[in-house]
Amino acid sequence: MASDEEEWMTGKAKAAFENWVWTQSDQWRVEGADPLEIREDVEDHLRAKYRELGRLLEVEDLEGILGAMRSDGNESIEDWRKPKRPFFPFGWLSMLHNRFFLGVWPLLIIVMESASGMFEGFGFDPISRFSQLILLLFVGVMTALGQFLDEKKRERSWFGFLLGVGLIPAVYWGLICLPVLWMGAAVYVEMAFGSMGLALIGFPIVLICMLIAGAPIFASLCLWEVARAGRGRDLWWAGLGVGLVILSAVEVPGYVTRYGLKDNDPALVRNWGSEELLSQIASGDSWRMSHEDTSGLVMNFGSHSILGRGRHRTNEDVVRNRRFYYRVTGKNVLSEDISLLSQRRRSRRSFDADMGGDRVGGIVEGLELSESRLDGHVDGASGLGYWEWTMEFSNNTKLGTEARMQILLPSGGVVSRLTLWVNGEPQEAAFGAKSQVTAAYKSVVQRRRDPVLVRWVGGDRVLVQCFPVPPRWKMKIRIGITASLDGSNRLYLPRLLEKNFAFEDGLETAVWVQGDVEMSMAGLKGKGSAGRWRETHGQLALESLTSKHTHVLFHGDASDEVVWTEDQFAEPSERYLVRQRLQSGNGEARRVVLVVDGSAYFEEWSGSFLKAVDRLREEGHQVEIVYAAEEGVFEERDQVDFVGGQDNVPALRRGLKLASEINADEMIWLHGEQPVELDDAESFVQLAQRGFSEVRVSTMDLTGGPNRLLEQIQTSFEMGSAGRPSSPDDLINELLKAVTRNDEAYRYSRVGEGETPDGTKVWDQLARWKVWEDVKREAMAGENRDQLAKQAALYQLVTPVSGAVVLETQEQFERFKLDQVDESTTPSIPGIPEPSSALFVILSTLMVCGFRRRSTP
Amino acid sequence: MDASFDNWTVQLRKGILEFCVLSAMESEADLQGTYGYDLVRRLVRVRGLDVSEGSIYPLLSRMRKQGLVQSHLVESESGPARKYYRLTAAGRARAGAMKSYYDEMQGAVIEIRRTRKS
Repeated sequence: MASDEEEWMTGKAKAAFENWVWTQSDQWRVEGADPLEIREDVEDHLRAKYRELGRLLEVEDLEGILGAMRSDGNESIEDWRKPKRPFFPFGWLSMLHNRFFLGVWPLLIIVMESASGMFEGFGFDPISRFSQLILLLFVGVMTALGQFLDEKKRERSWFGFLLGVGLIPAVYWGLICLPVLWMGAAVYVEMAFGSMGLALIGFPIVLICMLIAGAPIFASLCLWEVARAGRGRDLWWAGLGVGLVILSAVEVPGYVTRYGLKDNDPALVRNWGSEELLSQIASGDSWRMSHEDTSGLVMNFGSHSILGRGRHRTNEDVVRNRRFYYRVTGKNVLSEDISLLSQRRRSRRSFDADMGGDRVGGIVEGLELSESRLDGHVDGASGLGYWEWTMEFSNNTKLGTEARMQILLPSGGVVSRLTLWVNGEPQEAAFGAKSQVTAAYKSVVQRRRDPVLVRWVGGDRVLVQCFPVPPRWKMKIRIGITASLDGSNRLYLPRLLEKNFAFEDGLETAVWVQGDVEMSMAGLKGKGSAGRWRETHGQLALESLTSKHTHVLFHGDASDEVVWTEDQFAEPSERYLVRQRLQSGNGEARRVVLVVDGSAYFEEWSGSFLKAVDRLREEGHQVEIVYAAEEGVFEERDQVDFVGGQDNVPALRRGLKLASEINADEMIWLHGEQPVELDDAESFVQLAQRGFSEVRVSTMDLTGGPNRLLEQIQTSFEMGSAGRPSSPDDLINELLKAVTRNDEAYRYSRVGEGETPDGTKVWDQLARWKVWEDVKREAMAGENRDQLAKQAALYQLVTPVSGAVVLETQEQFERFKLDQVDESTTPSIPGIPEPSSALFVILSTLMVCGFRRRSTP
Repeated sequence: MDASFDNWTVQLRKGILEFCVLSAMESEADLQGTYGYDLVRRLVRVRGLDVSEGSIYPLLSRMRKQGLVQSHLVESESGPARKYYRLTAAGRARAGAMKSYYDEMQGAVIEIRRTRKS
């Protein structure tokens, strides 16, 4: 007897039955019946016949049974017995395509694109976004299903739905691939004109590539054919609608992004565009072709060359794209974590377009920071600290490359030492006028020798360039930084704002801080003392030096009232420098204007900020707020949405005018990073220098990161640091301290050799600090810059007018008229005597005393 | 006979087939209903109706869509479950209406033919 599993028809009969159902389906639909239901009924009918006959039904039996079922107007039995006409007319090509390409072509595209960049070679990246990857695989599954249905002639109502869903993206892909096919043909023709040999070798490769590129076209035709034949037509339209929605969800953000970029509309892109695509567009460099995704291919097709190669960006394009990315997201595209798909694209970019230039640029493949060590010393009496940051870079590529970074120095800090290890030996830098050291560096870089350059770029920031980190080798440098405790007994660690290298896996920085006062630092567990010095040490995650402000907190009294030091660079008649602290500040209520960078990051800080403002107002201070927002400048919180990256210049100008109107004691600019130049800073600087020069302006850096506006302003207008809160919670205390802080003021005097200065003797960093403050102030005022550069070079300082460079040979120093500093004159970390050395000294003293006692008659 | 006559017979059969199917099912209106295959065989055997098996299954499907019949599976000892059809209330009402109309029309046709003879 027949059961569900039991065979009741021969295989051929079964195939003939399926074909009969297939051919009748259209007529049944026309009659308003359900083909699936009729199929079940007829199957039941055939089973009954099988039971009557008592044997398997053959094709001949079916001819009789189904022939009797022929309804009026239907095809004759001969029609459905005929093999179905193949859809693809080219015999072997059809077979190859049906059996192989359909269904697996998206995988082939993904594999080939990842391995060879075939599409990208035409300036088109088909899987630039994750959503596109998913869509591509989905269309592949749909076309495979379509092919399966076509061959098996199965009929299920949800098939129609899926076919409809798959057809829309397949047709879209087919249209996208048409120009790619044309480009492929054009490239091949170009190749064939060049060499007949290349043409012969290249033909099968080009053919396969074009077959793959043509797969979506075949796929969409196949799906259309299957759908046209009426498989599950009930839900066909619903499937088409869903397919359109899916395609729109994947592709529309791409088009919106490009339109928004073209129309300079950050709000549009922020709300409806694709940040992933924008990141890819903005991270491109000028020398590279603009590799497009589907939206780029469509919208920029006319601007491609005749052979379909991608467009080359201009420098203006690059700057504009990066600026737009910042305005949309409030982030720096070059420091963003990039998706796996973007890494696939970027991994082929090992050439460093920014080498020898003035900007840090993006990460260079294979360049890593492999060692990092930070040693610090604090002198409590002078209130000054000194850091030495030793770094070693490794280059895992076959070409020498340049390591670049922008370092945020401790508040008001200055670079006072630079060392490069050449052949294992430390070589000290030469300090000279900024233009002089820059010219020496660029000249030596062209000869591919070993220089290191440090330049001041404004706002407590320096740009460090090391070249070349040799291929498959290392380069070691040390940067010395003199800084002051910022009035709150904090010594900030230097911080990497921008870098063009990665960190070696698991790399940590070894930190050692010592001084003559008690100290503590989050993350450092080691603690000890030797003689009068205390120390703390430990391993610090590199994140502490890149993503937040980190500081050492010193516990104790403020610096001494009167201190002096021997100035080794001064004339004998001015040998000793004396500093006397002046009393200042009277705790009166103050008037302050706070200018807030209303970029996206500030959403996290706004709560703490408003609490701090409330506290200040409760304490009687007059606080006015100006917000920089996308729609303009506002003074009420309710009017501002903290989104994207905002241009702060209009708010700074408004803040300065407001500060003048209320006769404010100070204007504090609370800002995050601004990695691109948005507006001309000169309009603000002019206002500050000419119209409102009496208002003191300070900055409070909340997030760190590069800030081009700050760099621009600080080249000609000095803004002090009002603090660097390490978190939103820290903002309340920092802002209260900043507004209510006393103005630190010192009186300096000099004493000649032979005289004995009053006060406490401190280290010679005091002399450097005095010159640094003088040079910075006078350079901002535009006074004699050559003279200032000479003085800064004498005291080995990197300032607005001077820089430091280490060259490889003495001959190079002489050629550029630079004097390499004597190692004995450089600042250094005072050494802590080893316990064994101290013990040795004590034992020796005791032995000498004992010997003398015995030898005494 | 010519093609127009063939067309007329086809249309006539089609028009009357639905009434026949409903009537056949009404006559077997028990709880279980009618096994589709049996129904087809019964109708095909009726001399003069000249109905093909291929016409009845689409008709059943269409009538199910229209809510005139409903189908259900009944376990069978000799194989897989079989599909049975039975009339719904709407189907019975439709069958009644068709019967009234048909009787009326048949009466009219007979009357016309009788008038012509006399």
